Amino acid sequence: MVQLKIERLTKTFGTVRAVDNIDLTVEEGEFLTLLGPSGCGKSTTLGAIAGLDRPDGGRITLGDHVFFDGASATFVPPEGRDIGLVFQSYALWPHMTVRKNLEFPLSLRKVPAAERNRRIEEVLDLVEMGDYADRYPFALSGGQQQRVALARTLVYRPRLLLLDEPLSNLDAKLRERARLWLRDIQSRISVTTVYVTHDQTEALALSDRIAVMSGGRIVQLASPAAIYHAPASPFVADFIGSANIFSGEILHVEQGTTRLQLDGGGTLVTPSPPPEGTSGKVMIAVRPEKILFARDAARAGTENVFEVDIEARSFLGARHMVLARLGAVALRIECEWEPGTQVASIHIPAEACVLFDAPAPSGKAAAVEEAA
Amino acid sequence: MAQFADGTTDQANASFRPRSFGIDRSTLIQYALYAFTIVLVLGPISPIIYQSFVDRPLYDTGQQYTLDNYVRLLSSPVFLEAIWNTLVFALLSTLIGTSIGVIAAILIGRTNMPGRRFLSGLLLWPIFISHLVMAFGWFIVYGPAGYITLMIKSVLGVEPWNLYSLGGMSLIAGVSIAPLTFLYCSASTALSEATLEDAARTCGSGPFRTLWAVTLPLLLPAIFYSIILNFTGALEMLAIPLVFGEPAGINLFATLLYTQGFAAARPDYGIVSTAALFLIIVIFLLLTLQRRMLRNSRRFVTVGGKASRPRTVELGLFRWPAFLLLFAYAVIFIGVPLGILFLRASVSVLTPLAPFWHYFTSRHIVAAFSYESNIRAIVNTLVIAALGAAIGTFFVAMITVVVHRSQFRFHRSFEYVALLPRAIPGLVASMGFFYAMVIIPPMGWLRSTIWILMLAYIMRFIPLAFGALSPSLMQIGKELDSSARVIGADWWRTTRTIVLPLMKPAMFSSFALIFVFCLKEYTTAVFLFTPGNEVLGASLLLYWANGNMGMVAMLSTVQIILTMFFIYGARSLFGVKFGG
Ligand SMILES: Nc1ncnc2c1ncn2[C@@H]1O[C@H](COP(=O)(O)OP(=O)(O)OP(=O)(O)O)[C@@H](O)[C@H]1O
Ligand SMILES: [Mg+2]
Repeated sequence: MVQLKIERLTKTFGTVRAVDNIDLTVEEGEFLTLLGPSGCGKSTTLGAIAGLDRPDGGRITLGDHVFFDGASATFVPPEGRDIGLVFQSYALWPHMTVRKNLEFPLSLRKVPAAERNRRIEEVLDLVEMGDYADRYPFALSGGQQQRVALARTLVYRPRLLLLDEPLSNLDAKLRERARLWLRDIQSRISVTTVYVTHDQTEALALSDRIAVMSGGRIVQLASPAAIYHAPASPFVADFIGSANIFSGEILHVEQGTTRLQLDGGGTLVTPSPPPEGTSGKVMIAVRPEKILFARDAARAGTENVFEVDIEARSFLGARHMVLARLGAVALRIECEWEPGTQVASIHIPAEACVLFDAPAPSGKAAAVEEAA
Repeated sequence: MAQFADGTTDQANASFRPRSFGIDRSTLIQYALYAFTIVLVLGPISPIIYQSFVDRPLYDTGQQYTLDNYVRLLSSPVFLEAIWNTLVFALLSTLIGTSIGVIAAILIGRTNMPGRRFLSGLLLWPIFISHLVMAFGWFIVYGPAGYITLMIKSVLGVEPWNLYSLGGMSLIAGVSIAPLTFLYCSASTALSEATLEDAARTCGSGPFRTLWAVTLPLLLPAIFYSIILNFTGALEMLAIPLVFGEPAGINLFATLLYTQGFAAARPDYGIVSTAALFLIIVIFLLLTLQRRMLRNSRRFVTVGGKASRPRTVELGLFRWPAFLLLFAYAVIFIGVPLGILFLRASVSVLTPLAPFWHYFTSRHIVAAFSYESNIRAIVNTLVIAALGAAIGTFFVAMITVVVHRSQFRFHRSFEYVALLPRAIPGLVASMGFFYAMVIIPPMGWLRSTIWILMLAYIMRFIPLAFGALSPSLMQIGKELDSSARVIGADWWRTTRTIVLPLMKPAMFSSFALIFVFCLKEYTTAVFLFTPGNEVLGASLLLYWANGNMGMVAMLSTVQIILTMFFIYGARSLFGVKFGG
């Protein structure tokens, strides 16, 4: 049973709390993603798991192997942990061929030559790089280097695989392919994986579970669907799918319907329950792709229909992004069809709204800051 | 445990059990290296400190602690005068050297003066030649009985100049330290990055105005850096004060250390040590200042981007005059003195009063390669240079890896110790190693061997190698060694298989640099050489003391030619770049 268990992990750099009291358990074979904006402590957490940085406190165990324990001052250096780490920059050793790169971890483990070659063949085939064994890293494309980096980590069959933004150096198209491919490999060898990224699409597509981080803390830990549909805070809603967030006040609650007075004008009805212990002031999060323009809205009845001024439009290819103004609130609307007029009607589907408590009478920025 | 497609569970990993991590070999190596470096650097300074506080020589018995040495030093009119002279000398030569270097760097780096590459090569050459050899060259041409001095005197009837003076010495010293300033300023991004200048030009600023208002201020950090470098260089300079000051009775700090500590019949060790310590402290303070300034100046240093070819400043009418000025400078101060050394080595008498071709002789060249002591000097120098450069490079490469790429607890203080020899003048280091040999009996066997010289040279050149190696180490991505660690290699294995191999190009440069500096070194040998372990620099000093100018010129020539061959070879074989 190889379960990665992180308890009360803390790491500070000077006055910066890069990792602030994190608890996290990754089950055997699970693909868990640490997702968060730049500087939220993802890499620091990964570095602590790998043993590259010594945390200030807490405990990290893999199975029954204690990697780090602040209380008993246990610290196993990276080479004693038998885990794999793939860097954003791939970190292939430029003075060694692909084969030599892969051979190094095996020779450290004193794997006999025949077995060594067999394994190198096997893993290179797995990443579809069998023909490149004798090339030097500089003679490989970014995508190929990334495959070799993964192969170098898989070849010694680590007990835990750590990936720090391994796809972010690839161009958009390649990244999409690599994503599918990575998920496929991971499920085939079913290695416990911790994946770091700041790209929410990547996280949603790859993970069994996602830990959304902010300011050194985990703000939500759940399945991709749960994170997407039921964000725990305005921050998560904003970070995943960059929701529109605006404020309002609860008018009344009845039979599973909440009626709200928007600060921008108009009333909104939603089946979402009001947040617990609310003072009445709430934040409403709605994803841009959920909002409809009136042509479609006609079918949806007359509730939650608003009049907006269109301020800007951009063409995304399959869809359009429209910036509209509803009173004082700026809304982003992603739609397949956009009206040609300056003023248009929109419909916000009732079930598309998620409500959060508004701690202070303020706009979106302050709320997000607060959540962070 | 990870399971592959073939379903095999992992056998090999079962044997990969983490070792116990008490004291492992990596930590052991790091501590050993640290301890060795401390001993190497502080070892020679400690006896000097001790000696300065006791009343009799170290080798005597029954020392009493006393402050007498300090009192005597500060009340000795000779030393006080030397301090004053040194101050004047250092200030003047810094002024001269820095100005020449900066002007040359701007002319060559930023203008459309013709022949810039050619001049740049010419002006950098003296970096590879010892100040002692340059001083001899200048002495033979421009000294009181110098070839050109006498030639002009015979025309004018009066002596045109007197280099046996503080002013004369400062001029010569300024010229000898100018190449370093030139090197530093040329390397500064201010001269290779033209966007800021272009911005000024587009605002309507003329070329000269731009040089003055943009280029020069951007160059200021490099200039400040050079000023301190030059000042400390002048403080510890022995060659020029020895050749031009000592005969005229102008004492400087370094010459006093030399004459009182080495040449005197009964050296006054107490006062000499105290003076040496004084020098170390002054230089140390200056270097600390430099470090601090450099840290603050980072904000002003432009960040170099792509190697863009900067547009140059049009000199217009002044193109050729500027070229001629620099060219004349190079001929007068570099070409002629070096050439005359070759000439002097091949004649028995050299004077403008008689045609030199009547006096051609092979005596010196025969002597250089048949006298046993000369052969020894040449062979020893080469052996020390080759071995010292190899060992030193490897040693310092290890230091840089521990400092920059390890969790070694004392990595900060390690860097400090490694850079400390910058504050220890060669003469003082030499004295320190000598004392250490005298008072530590197990070190006695090192006496009269080339090993003690090699050890002293390596100690002296740690900062030089550190400067050559550490920037290139910092350019190697940290992930490269982190990934090796995660894969299962301990620090030492990672260092051996990943980091050091990646540092190879820098190690070649460091090797070449130390080699050349060992070839030209002389101050560090002063107290350490005896018959048997002489080196070229030391033999030069001896022949000079005996007034044998023919042999001085001959051995200088040998030194120059060895250096030229080596640099040419290193350039074409390993592509090592020297200087800029
Ligand atoms: N060596 C260090 N010294 C000082 N501060 C550091 C150091 N490493 C990280 N930090 C700080 O710790 C915080 C977390 O950094 P970390 O690298 O973990 O962020 P991240 O989530 O990986 O961000 P990114 O997505 O940009 O890689 C940041 O505020 C960073 O500035
Ligand atoms: Mg990161």
